[in-house]
Amino acid sequence: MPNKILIIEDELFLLHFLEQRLEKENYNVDVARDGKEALEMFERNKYSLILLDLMLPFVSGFELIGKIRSDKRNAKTPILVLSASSSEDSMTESLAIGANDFLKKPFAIDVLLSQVEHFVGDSKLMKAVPFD
Amino acid sequence: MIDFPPFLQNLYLRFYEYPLFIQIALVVSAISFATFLLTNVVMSLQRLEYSFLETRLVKLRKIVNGEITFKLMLKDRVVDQDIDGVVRRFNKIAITNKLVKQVITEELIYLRRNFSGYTATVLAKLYNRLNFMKSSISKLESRSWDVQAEGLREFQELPVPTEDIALINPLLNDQNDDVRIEAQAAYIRLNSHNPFKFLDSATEELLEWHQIILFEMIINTPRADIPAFSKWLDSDNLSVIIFSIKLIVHYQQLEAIPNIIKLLDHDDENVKEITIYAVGQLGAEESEQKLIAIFQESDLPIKVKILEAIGNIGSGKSERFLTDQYLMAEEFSLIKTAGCALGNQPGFDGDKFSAIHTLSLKQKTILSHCLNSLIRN
Repeated sequence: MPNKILIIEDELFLLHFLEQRLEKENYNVDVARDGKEALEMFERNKYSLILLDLMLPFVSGFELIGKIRSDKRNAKTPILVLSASSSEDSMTESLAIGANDFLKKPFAIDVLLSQVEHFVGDSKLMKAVPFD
Repeated sequence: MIDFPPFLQNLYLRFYEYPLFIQIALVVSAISFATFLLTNVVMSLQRLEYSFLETRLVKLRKIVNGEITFKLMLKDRVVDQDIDGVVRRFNKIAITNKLVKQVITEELIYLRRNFSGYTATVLAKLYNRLNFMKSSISKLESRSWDVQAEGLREFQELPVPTEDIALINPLLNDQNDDVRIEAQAAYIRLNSHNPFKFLDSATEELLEWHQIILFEMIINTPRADIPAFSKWLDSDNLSVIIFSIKLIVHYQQLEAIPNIIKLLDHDDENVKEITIYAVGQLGAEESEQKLIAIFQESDLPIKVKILEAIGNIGSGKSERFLTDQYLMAEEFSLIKTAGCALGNQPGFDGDKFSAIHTLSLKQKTILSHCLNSLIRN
């Protein structure tokens, strides 16, 4: 199954830029502009990685992380939080409820790409190594 | 002499046949109706203008974003010719136009807020090639406070030559609150050496919301070293003292405790209140005696703060004082705060306390609440 990444971000420019940038790196990318749309996509798809902003309309990023972790299909999917929040509480809370890592805005694109490679690359490796 | 149409002449003649109050009513109605029409026409024109402007802005933003994204940001490596190409394209869309310039500046600011590293460097180069700095500088000299504030925001977000940073100094004590806060925020962000120097000469009040914004700016701007904020505890500007105390607490500058304790005798109630809060947060055991000394002469809100502070310090040395307050106070806020402060003292045993002292139902309930591990501070 091809590696699929879901980006959940309400700022349209950022959403589409990240989509284009990741597609340029040959990733298969879906996008959602808010939590509601993201939840609908989880019902249809399984993802290798979720990039998510904490400040989202309708369903907050924190709530969404909780729902992802309770959804069987994506419970183990790595979640990388992208947020402008500088608060240590936001970082701590998002990691505590199930995010795998936190990237604070502004971030360097090459750092984001290496994080994506780290998470998606690991899943590629896991698929390549059969369990006996 | 103007020749009016017959019906207007008739209207004019009939008008003078009416009683005076009818004439007045007709005139007022006519003026009101004319005003109503004029207002609606002006509003409709403004809405139309706004709608055209919005459409134009959307179109411009699309072009600008497209250029920056496809020609620069999506590339792994950007060369000078790429940037020059974007500059040429922007020149074609009338870059001398204020609106175009503003859109490009806003998009660059937006991108710098979201991206750092190599992308930020490329965007900075683009900004310099576009020579927008002159425009930002000229905004600082504008007579309109909103234009000045806009220029200061651009200063903060976009690369500024070192020699131009001093241009914001005259605005650090501007009478206008918005200009002042933008100037101070820009100063912190742009001065890597001694970013708090503006506190030396801050004559205008640092409003509460100013302090919140500056606080966020300080903790979000990477700094090699944070100064000892105690140097501003004797400022003539009370808001600077208060702000410094908050920073001392945030950065836990324990060496400032002796200077902070001196402020417990300050004449200003706001300074006193924040000082009491600070000694609690810093765990300043050496302040407890002083807190107890000023307790009786203080107003109720200050008394509550003192009890909270002693509770936060939690040294155990003032348990007797807290017990007295808990048992003898009549005000609910005092009883509750004293109870919770007691609960924070090391080794405090609620059961033993209840057995020794005769507690009213109210006191027992409060103590139980304070000792509830789900609620305790």
